[in-house]
Amino acid sequence: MSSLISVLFDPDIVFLRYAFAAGILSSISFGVVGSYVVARRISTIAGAIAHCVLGGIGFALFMQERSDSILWTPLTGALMAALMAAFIIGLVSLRAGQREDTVINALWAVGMAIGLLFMARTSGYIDPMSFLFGNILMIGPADLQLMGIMAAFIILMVVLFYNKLVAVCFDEEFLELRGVPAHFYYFMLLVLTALSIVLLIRVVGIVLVIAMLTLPAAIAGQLSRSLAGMMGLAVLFSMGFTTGGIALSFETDLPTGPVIVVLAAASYLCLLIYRFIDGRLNKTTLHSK
Amino acid sequence: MDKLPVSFQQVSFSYENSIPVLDDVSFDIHARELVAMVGPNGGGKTTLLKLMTGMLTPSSGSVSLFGKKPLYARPRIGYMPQYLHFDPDFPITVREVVLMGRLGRGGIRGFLGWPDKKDRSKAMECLAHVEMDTLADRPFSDLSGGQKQRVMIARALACEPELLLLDEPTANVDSQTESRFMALLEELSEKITVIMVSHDMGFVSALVKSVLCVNRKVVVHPTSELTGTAIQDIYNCSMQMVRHDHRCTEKGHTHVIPDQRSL
Repeated sequence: MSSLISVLFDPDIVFLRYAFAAGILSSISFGVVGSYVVARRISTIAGAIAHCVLGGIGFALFMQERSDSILWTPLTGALMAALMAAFIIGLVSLRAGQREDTVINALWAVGMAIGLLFMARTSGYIDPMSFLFGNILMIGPADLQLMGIMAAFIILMVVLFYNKLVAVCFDEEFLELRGVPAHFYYFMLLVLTALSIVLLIRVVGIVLVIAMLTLPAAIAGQLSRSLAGMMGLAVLFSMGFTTGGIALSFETDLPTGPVIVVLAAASYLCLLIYRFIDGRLNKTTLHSK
Repeated sequence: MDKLPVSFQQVSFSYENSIPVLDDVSFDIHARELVAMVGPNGGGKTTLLKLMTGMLTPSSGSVSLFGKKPLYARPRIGYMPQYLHFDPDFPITVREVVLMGRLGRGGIRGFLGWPDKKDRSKAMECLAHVEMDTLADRPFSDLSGGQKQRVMIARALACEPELLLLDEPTANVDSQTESRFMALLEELSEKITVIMVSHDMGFVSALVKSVLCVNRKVVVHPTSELTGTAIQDIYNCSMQMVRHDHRCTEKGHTHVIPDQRSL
């Protein structure tokens, strides 16, 4: 632990400070958007969006090699793919009805496949692993700035439209009947999800992002009675998991993303076990009376 | 003079190329009535309700609410969906659920969906109306089925509707709550029009003024005229006569004299 502290405050070594800052910043999106994802039960949709992002990253790398435009970076590619996926999946989930899961899962796989195909046709060595599992230790000041802007945007939208987004999660039909364009708010929710996913992929990667969008929110959901409370708690839990995960991975020399996710999952499991035992105990005391 | 709250003119409806659910249906519902909708499963009760709210549009014929198309009459409707429709674990308080009924107003505040003082007091007033005001800050998921149902009514009332549409409001409710509930609906129907889907043919409260029998066709009966042949017509088979004058109260099993007011 002493080495962690000394590295953290070493003026020549910045990566660890950046990593912690990224963890804290991303936790805001994890907690806030994750609560909507869990409450609206769209974690499959979020998963599909996340995996489609690989398609965008592959395409951007492919274009980067062939054009001089500074537009093509993995981040812009990811952003475009995420928004496109959110839009397509949104349409599918509103129109396809029964076949929704099939189409969403197909998009999930197709997005990844496209990304790998583009990467195969891009010269030089590209390691898809860093996109799939993230590398928080590679984060620079530019990433942090962007994360800050996106987190601020997400918070602004959620604060402004909190009640309508809650209503769309709880009962879309009723909102529509009140003359509110419920589908518009549903898409807003998906766009916010897509933005957070792009933001978060740098931290935990495509495969693990769903865990961070759902686990802190799921834990918070067990402990709170309103969505706002759930969001606040989820942000705090998420901050704890990212910070703790980074520290733990530094101490044990293990990859950061997986450590964060395992830490979150272990906490969720502990909570479930505690609830189970607590419920049992209450039952037996009731019976003994 | 008020326009008719609900008017169906030769309405037919079928879901994508299948057999018609409703076939050449015409009826009017007058202001300040308490109407129950009965009929077999798949007979078109929910479809009828969805046509009224404009969630579905008729294949032919026209539906008008207060003389307008349903879509434009929406602000005047309070709608209560079936109870099954909700995620039981959703983290939300009773008060927040009822405040949803205040969404969809104009202005910046309405656009953003933030309630003002009037919205809050109206929501509490509606909760008080269904005797749920003491539970306003409870999580919705902690409530019993009947309590949830009452919160849903409060939400529909928070819309300040002139027409209240209720989809099976008395499913999951015990008989004692049910009779209190019907009394509440009757009280409401002194000011607004109330249309409810009844969950089974066996139950139509004596408080109901008229009954819509729905099975591809729609026939309107004042309750006192509902006879065995009328039911037979709509079901196309001989059935046991349903006693609509039969109620259970806290005091025990009683039979009340059939309601003759609507004659």
